[in-house]
Amino acid sequence: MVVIAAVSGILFLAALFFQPITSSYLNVVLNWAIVLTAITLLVAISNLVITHLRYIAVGRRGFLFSLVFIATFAATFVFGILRGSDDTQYLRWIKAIQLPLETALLGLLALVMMSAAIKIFRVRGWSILTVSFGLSALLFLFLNLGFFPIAQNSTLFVVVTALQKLPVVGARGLLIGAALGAVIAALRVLFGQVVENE
Amino acid sequence: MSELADQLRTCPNCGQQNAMHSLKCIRCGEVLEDLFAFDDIDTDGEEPTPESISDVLASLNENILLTDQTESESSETAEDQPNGGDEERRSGDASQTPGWLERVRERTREEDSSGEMVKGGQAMDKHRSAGERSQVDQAFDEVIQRIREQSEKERKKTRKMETDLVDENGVPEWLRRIRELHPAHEQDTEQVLTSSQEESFDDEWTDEELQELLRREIGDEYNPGEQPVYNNLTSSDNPEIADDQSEEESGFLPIYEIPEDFHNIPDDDFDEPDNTKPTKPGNPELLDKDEDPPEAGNKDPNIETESQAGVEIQHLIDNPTDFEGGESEKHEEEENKEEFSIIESDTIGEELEEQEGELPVETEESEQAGDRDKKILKSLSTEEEVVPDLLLLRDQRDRAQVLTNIIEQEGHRTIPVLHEKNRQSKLGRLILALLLLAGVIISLVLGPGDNLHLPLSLPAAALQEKTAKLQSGEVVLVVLDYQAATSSEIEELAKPVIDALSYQGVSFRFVTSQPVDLWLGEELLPSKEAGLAVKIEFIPGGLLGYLTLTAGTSPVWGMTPIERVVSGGTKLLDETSLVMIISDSPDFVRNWLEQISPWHPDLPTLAISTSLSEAMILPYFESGQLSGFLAGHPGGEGQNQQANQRAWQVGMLIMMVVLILGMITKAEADAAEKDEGHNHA
Repeated sequence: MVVIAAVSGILFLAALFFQPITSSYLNVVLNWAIVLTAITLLVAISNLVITHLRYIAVGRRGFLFSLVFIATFAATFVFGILRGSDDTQYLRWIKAIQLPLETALLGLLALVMMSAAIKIFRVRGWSILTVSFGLSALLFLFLNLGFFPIAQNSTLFVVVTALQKLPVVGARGLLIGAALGAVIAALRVLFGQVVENE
Repeated sequence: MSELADQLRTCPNCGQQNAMHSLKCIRCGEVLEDLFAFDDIDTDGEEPTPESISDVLASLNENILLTDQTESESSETAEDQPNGGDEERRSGDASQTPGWLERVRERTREEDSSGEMVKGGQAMDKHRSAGERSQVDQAFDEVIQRIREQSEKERKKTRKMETDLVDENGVPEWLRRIRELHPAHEQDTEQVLTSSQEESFDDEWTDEELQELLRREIGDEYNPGEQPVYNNLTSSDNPEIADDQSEEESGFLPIYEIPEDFHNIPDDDFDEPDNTKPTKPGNPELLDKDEDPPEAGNKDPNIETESQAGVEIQHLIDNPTDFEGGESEKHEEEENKEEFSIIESDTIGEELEEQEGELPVETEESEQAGDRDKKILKSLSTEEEVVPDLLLLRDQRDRAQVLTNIIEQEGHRTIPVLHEKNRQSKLGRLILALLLLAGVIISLVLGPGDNLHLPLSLPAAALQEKTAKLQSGEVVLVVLDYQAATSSEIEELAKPVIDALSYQGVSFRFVTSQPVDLWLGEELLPSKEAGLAVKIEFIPGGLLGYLTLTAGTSPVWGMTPIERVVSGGTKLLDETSLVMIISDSPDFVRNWLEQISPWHPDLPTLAISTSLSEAMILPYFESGQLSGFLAGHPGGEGQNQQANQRAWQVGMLIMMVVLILGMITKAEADAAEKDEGHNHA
């Protein structure tokens, strides 16, 4: 497995660097990867369906949820096959179910965030992290209220702009760290340093 | 000197007084040869050589005190004719010469003077050495024993003081500890106890209590009314005991059969020091110090049976001196009785308190039975004697306490969690939800309020500028990658931009690798009034699919499966003037900019995302990889008209209030804790 990963990575790099000679080979390799990904997705779906069918068969606790899942999956699959994924009615039907569900979940997330905002000081206590978090949150919430014409005061505008750069600074640090991590991970794969169970 | 001094010997080396029979000084190890010193022998402490022993034996023959007058006169003749002379001495002076001396002489005569005498001397030296060692060891053991006895006496005094501790209410120390272990039960018991009972309650167990505990511990096998076994066995095996016991007492002796789990002393306690072992009569350990206590169920015929053990227990109870030996052992046993630390178990404490509650309802019959049992118990044990089942060693108590703690903690949480679910938290959450709902409802009822007049952000201005330059007929590739939860925010930002471009006559191509966007993206399609018929294409494979269509070319043998699905195949970006990414994921935007855009560096890329992604996307805008983007509330006239300023402000205010409430709550809790700490101090 390690050898396959290393060879694939080296070939992919070669195909990227030796353009346009290797562009056709790159297309083929990417198609292989996409097909393999699709197969793994099918395996995952079949495994999920079989698992829930087993739950229903043995009458496991909460098997009613499995029953709902199997029913909705079968209906979606059958209608998709029969009507096609481009059918307008079919798409609207799915949208009418999915959109309110996910919106409600996002609303619950807002409530959880509010609850966490109250408990963060009680649970974590007074620390540099919690105090800085609380002060910065209050500051940016206040600035985003729009009550005060910040842009009309040049000095205040400079200060606020500098403060608003702080999240960008943190984001840049995250991006640089993620890039370095990706490079190291890729090098480990290429040199066969990845353990199989990782 | 006194008589004692006459029995002691002073070491010439260190002056230590040693026993008369000691061969070496117990202090410095100096050899004390005086006892076995012979005349004309140098006692310098060195080991006698074979030659010296031979000389000693020879001198025995020559000693004037050990030989008769006739022999001394004819000593010269005897040396020339040893055999004949000896025969004459044996025959003539047998009555006057000691027997041992006669044997020595005979041995000397039998062995020649060249080497046999040396062998005899060596054998004698060996014998003497073994005797010396044993005597020295014995003396050493005596000294060690005296030291132990002294230390045990000191410990005994300390323990006695501890066990005799009684508080102001007259409650002994040990009972107070038991009550501390069971406070709830103690409260119940306190309500039942009357004043008279409290007065009668003592730190010593009464015979009735011990009898009841015996009955509970042994169960149905304990039957005081039956014919005693101990008495019969004792009488048959030990007549002395039978004589000492009265008929009345022996008639009420109970059948005290030892159950299989009779003793409550674990086997691994045998490694305890001797001073911690109980030495009271009735304890199985007293049966034989060299053997393990008899255990029921042990089929080894060498181990005495239960009845035999019972006989011996009874024998030891009545005649403890028979087991221990002389008066000194008896005295030692009494000391051990005092120093033996017994700790009643929790169960015993509970039973004792229960028994207190039952005392008032006892009838006369039970009292008579108690008197009868009292006599029996007196025969079984004195006041200090407690049956082993009622005892717990300190080590056992500690183990039981550990086990009790473990059982009490079972099922309880040992690691503190970050927050616990309680009614207060649920109530607080409900209040928060109601507050949030009230804010949203009020803001909706009152309307959007005044339009915002926020300045257009720099990325939004760049996006506006870039889209304004597009000419009619140019193609914009719109890449959709967002979920239903964020569709309301995304679509509010993207819809005006697409409508403006459609009015400019720009053509669109909508693609997505997310199946959900096939039906979500319909909201973004340009209105039919613009005369554009657009549909959303699905790109399989996610980012790999985009990479295939942008970086790859068709092989010589034909189109790949991905190319067949997408119209135009690998020429997806070839005819595109601008790429607009509509995504709620900053990772997707980042991957596109890092993986796809480099293959077409001259193709400008715009992005529309949520406010959460703004900070992550902004660096790519500042680096020039992203030509412009919209995120959150970008400002500008178009955005200001669609934003509900009042709802936004209400939401922000609620979040600020919640944060401040959290701080105040924490500060209040800290103050309360501090006050409590001061109160405790």
